[in-house]
Amino acid sequence: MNLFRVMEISGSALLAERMRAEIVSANLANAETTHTEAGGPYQRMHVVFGARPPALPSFGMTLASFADLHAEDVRVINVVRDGAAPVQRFEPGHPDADAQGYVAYPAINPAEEMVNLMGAARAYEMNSSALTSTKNMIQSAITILS
Amino acid sequence: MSNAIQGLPQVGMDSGVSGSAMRPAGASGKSEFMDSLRNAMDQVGQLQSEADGRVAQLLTGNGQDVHSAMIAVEKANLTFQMMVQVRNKILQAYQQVSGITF
Amino acid sequence: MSWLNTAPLMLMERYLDVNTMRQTIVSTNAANIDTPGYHARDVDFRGELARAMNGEDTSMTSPFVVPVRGLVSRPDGNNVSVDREAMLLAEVQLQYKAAIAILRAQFAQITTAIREGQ
Repeated sequence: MNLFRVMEISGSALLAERMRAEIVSANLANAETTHTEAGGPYQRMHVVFGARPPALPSFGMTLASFADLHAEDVRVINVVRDGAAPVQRFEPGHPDADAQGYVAYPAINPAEEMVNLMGAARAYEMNSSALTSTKNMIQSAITILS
Repeated sequence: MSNAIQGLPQVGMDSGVSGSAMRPAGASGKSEFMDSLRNAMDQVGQLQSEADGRVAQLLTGNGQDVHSAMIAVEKANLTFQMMVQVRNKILQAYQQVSGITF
Repeated sequence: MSWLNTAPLMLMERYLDVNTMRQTIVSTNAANIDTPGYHARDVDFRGELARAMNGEDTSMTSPFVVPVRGLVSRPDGNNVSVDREAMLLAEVQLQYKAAIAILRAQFAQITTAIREGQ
């Protein structure tokens, strides 16, 4: 049960949320990308968060190690390509149009991505203040001796 | 909070340093004083090693609380200060006693 | 060493322990706000405080961690509330700092008592 370890937890969340924001930003930037290197339209991506699952407590554990059971880091465990089918729009003059004149666009909803982005920003902010408050607690504990 | 102040004469009693315990300088009186000083030194040593252990755990990141380590260090400090006071009292009492002429 | 380990001092130590534990739990809740299926947890703060005030020697037992009731789950199964965790972060930090200040005053008083004995 160490406040330094708690800072690491908050730090892991900052990293994970930032990755999420980056992925969402990439989705937003490529909402209209009909042609990628791999061929075909841009594929929407999203992140999957996971926490380290809690271990079971054992008899005789000390206070410090028991608290470790509840100290769960979070990390991005997967960046997944969305399997949704591309949206087909009828644009015969478009360079990427197929034989029938349809262009495949990424199945990205900008409004939904914006909500995700705001969620990531808010979570980032909250974990940032968690980090600051933990840091303040450590600093005040140091004043016991000074 | 007044426990701290009330507790101090208790320490003097525990260590055997009080007016009524004064005896003419002799082997038995001297060893009683030395015993109480040794007790105080043992307490200091014990608290000091506990504080050292906690600080080492803190530095190596072994799950030690910051505040627990700080409190342990401060307790060791205070016990040390107390020991110094006990030693001074013993010296004073001893000098007074050995100054008695018959 | 009852002159050193007074009841108020040990109460402060326990209070700091519980607040540290709560900071761990709240920070973990905040970190996992986007983890699917994660449920917010908390320390049984009042229970712990009551035990400490009763003078139980709780130094070897861990504060009790309980699930939080009354939270709404989102579609991904997560029920962490941003507002609740943010509020608790502020509260825990202030309580911790207050306890540190009281602890320092207690130590200062013991120091004075030692010195005045000279």
